[in-house]
Amino acid sequence: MKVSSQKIKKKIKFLNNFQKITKSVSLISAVRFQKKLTVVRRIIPNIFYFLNIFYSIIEKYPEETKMIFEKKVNEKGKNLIIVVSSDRGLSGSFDQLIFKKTRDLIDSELNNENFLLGIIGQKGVNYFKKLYQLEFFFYKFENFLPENLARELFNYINVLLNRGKIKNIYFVRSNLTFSGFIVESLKIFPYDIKTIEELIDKIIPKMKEWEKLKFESPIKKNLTDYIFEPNIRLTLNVLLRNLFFLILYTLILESQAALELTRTITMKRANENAKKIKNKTILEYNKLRQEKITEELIDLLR
Amino acid sequence: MNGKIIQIIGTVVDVEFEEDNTPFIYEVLLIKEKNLLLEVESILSPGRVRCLAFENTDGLYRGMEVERTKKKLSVPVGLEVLGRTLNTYGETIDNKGKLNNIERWEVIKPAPNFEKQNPKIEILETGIKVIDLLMPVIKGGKVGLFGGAGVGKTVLLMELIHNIAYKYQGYSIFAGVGERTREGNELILEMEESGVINNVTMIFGQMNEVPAARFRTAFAGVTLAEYFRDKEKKDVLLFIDNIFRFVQAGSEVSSLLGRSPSAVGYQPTLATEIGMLQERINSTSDGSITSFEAIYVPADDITDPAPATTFSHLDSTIVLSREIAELGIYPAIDPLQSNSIALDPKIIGDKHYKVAIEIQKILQKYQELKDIIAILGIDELSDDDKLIVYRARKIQKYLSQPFFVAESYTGREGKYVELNNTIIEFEKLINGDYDNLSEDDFYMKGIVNE
Repeated sequence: MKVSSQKIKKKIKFLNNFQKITKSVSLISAVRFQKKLTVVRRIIPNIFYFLNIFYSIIEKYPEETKMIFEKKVNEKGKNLIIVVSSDRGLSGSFDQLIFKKTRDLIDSELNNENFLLGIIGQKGVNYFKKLYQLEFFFYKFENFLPENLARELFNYINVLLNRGKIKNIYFVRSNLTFSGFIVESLKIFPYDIKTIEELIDKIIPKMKEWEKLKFESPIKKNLTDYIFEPNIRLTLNVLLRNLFFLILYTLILESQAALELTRTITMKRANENAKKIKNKTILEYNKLRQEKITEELIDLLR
Repeated sequence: MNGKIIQIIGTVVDVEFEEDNTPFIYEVLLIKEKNLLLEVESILSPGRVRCLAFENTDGLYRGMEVERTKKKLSVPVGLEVLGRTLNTYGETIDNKGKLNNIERWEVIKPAPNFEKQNPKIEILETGIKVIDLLMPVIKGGKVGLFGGAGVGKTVLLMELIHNIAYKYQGYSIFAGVGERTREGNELILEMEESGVINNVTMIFGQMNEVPAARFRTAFAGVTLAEYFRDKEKKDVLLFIDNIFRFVQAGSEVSSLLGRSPSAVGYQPTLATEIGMLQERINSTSDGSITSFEAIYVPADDITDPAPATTFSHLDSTIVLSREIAELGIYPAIDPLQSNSIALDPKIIGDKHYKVAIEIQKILQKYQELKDIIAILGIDELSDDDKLIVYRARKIQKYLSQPFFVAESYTGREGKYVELNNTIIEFEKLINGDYDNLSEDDFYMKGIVNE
């Protein structure tokens, strides 16, 4: 059946506006991606710096620092899963990949039991609240500073740890790579002197600029002399807390950067798709217009 | 006393008889020398009549003798015509021999009167899921069939003929009006191959015929159908391909007879002519004639007088869509553009109505979401919308069906699905009972768990 020319015109107008929106969103997302990457660039040396100090102290004062990782966690505690999804969507398959990974983790590794779920992002909240009870959630976070979000999360985790509610923490997040990102689940707690290095290695984006970056243990280097105020244990604890915060911060930043990257690509694609549909619709409109002109001419000739 | 030709202009022939021997309107006159039939269309003055020839007038000359038959145009009727192919005036054209000593019925007749008509609305089960569910056909109703070339119109017609013969032991009449002769030949061959030909009588007045022949073919088809309805007391299917050509032929006849043209150049008697034909397609207490009329819409303009006048007579519309055919879904019926007045809870019952409306809603929503999917991808849809999309795709696939008459092409056994099963199956689908099945489980199936 024939569609009215007004309807087609309206559609063309809508597609024009849509193209403008997608173009803007794509550009904004590209800028935001770069911004987040810049912060990651600033944080990673800090993590290495903290780790360096940490190892130097451990090396120099083995006896005093032995107890630091011996803090017991409650074995009856649960597994906390933190998931970073998007708030507004418009990010292609980003959320679906995250949801799938999370469900795989819950079903396969954790056998669907003994876990708590903490969600960041409205889409994730909407999806998971139908399936499980949520321990905590943050949404509308895309407009907030990731640092504040990381701080909130860090405080909340500390409360849960102090209450003995959790024994393991898993983080379902996106890791930036050469060609985009991969979604993976990462166990970020508990850690010890051996696993912390491995963990840091995992959270570093697998991009070209960090390709050759490897943490070098300061063991064989000249160790600096430190004065600890008030004592070595408290200082190390603060260091460790800061390091854990930086890890969380990086994970959130990287997830958000991946989200912005996907959004840039998705919006670009949407723009191209809209263009294709618009061209098709314009052709349809022109045909209809020409048909009407011909009809009028025929009527005149009759 | 015979008359003489006094004027020939194209297929319009004026004949003069003696004043007291004036032929009546619609009487058939015979030119013995050429074995050519004429039909009286108007009486110019006592004894002088204007006629239209049923064949080409090449070789006619003034003064040629014309005989009166004192009869209107008629066609042979009876069980003998089943499986045969006729032309407008009832001659067989299928090389299977002549029909001798057979009853003939006049093609011009009034429509059944009020007392004879059966006002009860009954549904004609076709065994084709999409038709039975979304555009139920009324027994004695008229169905408009829209569709371009190559979308499966002929196969659908043949399946309907097959299923009516299977379910109701009914007969079918196929009237080819003003379409390509080649198509008629193909249809005969395909019907012979699929074995439905024995339940069908075909009557052709194709493009190569003169306007009068084309014009009367539709009436001849209806007459054959009337015979099976009234004498054999059967439910008859009447296929007219194409009703627009009937109007076009009427328009040519009108111009030839010198009537002033009306809107868009059509004949002034357009509504009367269509009414005369359509009103004869009816249910009586004896049986029913259900017609499927292929409609060509000039320049896709449904406001054109020809399709617009036809529309007012139709009870259901079946639109065959190229887009759906391209998806490999046959019959390629567009479930949203097709409709039926029988889709009413008072006629089909609450359950059927609710299921049909829900199916339409889901498909409509899917249609709206298609643009979003094309631009942003399915991931951007909400969970509820995604569910609608998944169900709509399954519905779309489930509306496909293997045909008996296409077994040799598809290699799939044909399926006849009873209306009750169709309703139950689609109710299950919309209630989510089939959410765990994949789309492929629904493709070209009668019912899922067969």
